[in-house]
Amino acid sequence: MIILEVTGLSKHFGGVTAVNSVDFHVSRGEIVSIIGPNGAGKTTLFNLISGVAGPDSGSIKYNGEEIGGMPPDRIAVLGVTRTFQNLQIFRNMTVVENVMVGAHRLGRKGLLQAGVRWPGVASEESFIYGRAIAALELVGLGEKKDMPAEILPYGEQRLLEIARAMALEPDLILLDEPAAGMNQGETNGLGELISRFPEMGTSVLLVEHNMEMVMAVSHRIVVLDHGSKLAEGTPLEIQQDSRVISAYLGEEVF
Amino acid sequence: MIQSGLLSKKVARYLLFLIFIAILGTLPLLMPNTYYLGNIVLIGIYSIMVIGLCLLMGYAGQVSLGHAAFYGLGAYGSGLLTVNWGWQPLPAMLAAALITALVAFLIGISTLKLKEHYLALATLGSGVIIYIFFNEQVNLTGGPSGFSGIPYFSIAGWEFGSEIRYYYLVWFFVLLAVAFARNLVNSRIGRALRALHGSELAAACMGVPAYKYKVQIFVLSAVYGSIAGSLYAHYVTFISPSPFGFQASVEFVLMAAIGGLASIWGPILGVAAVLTLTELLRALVPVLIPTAGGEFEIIFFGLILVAVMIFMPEGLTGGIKNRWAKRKSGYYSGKEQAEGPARNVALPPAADGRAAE
Ligand SMILES: Nc1ncnc2c1ncn2[C@@H]1O[C@H](COP(=O)(O)OP(=O)(O)OP(=O)(O)O)[C@@H](O)[C@H]1O
Ligand SMILES: [Mg+2]
Repeated sequence: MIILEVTGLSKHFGGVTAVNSVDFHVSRGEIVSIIGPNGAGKTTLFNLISGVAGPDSGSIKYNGEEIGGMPPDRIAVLGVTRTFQNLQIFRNMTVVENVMVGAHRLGRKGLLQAGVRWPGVASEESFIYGRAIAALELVGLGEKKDMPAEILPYGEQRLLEIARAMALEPDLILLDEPAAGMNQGETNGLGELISRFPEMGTSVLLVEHNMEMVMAVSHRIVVLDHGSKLAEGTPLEIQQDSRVISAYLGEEVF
Repeated sequence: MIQSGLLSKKVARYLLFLIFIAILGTLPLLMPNTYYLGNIVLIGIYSIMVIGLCLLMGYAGQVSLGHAAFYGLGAYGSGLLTVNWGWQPLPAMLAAALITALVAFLIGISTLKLKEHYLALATLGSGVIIYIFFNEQVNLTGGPSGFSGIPYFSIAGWEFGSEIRYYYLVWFFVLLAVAFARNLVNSRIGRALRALHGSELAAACMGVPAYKYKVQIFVLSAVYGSIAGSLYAHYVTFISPSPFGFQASVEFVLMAAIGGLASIWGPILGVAAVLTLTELLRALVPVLIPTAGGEFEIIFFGLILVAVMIFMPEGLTGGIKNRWAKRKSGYYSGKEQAEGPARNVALPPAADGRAAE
């Protein structure tokens, strides 16, 4: 069953065509990776899917519904969320508070109800707190829940972003270079973690430069170059694709 | 270890609150005369207003330069409804708050979608318009000379006619205002608002509707102002436009900034500090510079506002809290913020891909 279907998607910045008529899809339970050299348009593609930017043309269908051009908060409420290549943690909040914001869509109580502590507000709060703790434990940051988020080391801030996004219980998560800044051990742990997302009900779209991880976790890989789709296939197929090798991976990779 | 630290912090906070209540309860009995009590009533009224402004400035990251107009709408709404139409004070207060909420809503939806300073400009403009309205609608508002005969606040016939009764009434409202604000700040919505401060982009991608919450918090802060205005009208029983002009708006912003935007008790401190300064200034300036006029005040407060923004951007309470936190914990000592290291385009062993499905 297809959860995300992108067809003919394009985005221009002035003279630059960041995304050029790209087609691909993600099926439920799949881990699909987008790879390509710097400036290939991977982050722009994520921005379009998550609503951070609007497409110039083409369509993005999520569960059959057109989400291209929708604001990001509505897309998130539908169950699509993301992490950021350039970290976007809430520096002014603690670790667990960061993740509780991720669980925002699981609550219903409004401003007036919150202000007067309407019955049900307390139980909703503890539910959200519980969700956040579970998400932190998932990524192994449970111990650090009460620390200010900004003092976490770089690699842990990446994990925090993943926990925050997973607290939303997303159907689809977009991970933009989650392993950047992590050492080999951390990267291996991250790969194992991501591999488990589908069984938690979360399909994955992954952008990552660490090829070892990409090859290990991906069911399918889409290769972008200068905004256009160059190739698509299983990790094995991609590694043997001569166009991919010459355009991106380079002779020395395999 | 962290657990016990939090617990004792909670206990300390609770104790502090009890002490505050005890002082608040016994204060009128200790006052030598009603002049001081009157000042404390005013501090309470302004505090309600400034708590609302702090919610807006500290949690929604927006400044209103016309909040005195909402204060005025509350005062005039209550005054007119009780004097001209014979309403009871409590329903009049609620109706005035509703009208104010509507006005704020219209200003909010038309500007909060735009970036940064548009709300400040829009509130400034609306504030001026509302002020002119108070001045020019002579038949309705009595124009520049205002109108009098506003009844004391009363609930079910019980009148808050004496200084002491009014003191308890106002501070009861202050406690309500603080409780509501605290509950809000410590809720899902409060967290969402703080998240907007940290990263509007990430908050949006977590499903936080920034625009909606900003409008809501702006309307709420206007309602705080309106309630304060109603309490003011029933206290002084006479109103004219002058306390609701631009200078008042600036003073409110100053009170909020001095008190500290992101705290709930800060506003009370900020109000007390500014009112005390005003009294001192009014006593001192004529002695020192006999030729100085009223404009001296606004220049002086303008300078203080700039100084606070530069040297104590988090206000009195924020500044103190930070210094305290820095001294007490190692949290903020090592502020190493690793830069993203060079890209890792690793050489994979020919890993075979897992098949989809
Ligand atoms: N907001 C923007 N304004 C102008 N140009 C942009 C903008 N965002 C991206 N671009 C351009 O679009 C192209 C694609 O950028 P994008 O960030 O999507 O690449 P990427 O594949 O994520 O690269 P990297 O691996 O370095 O993260 C680049 O040429 C970039 O300069
Ligand atoms: Mg990128």
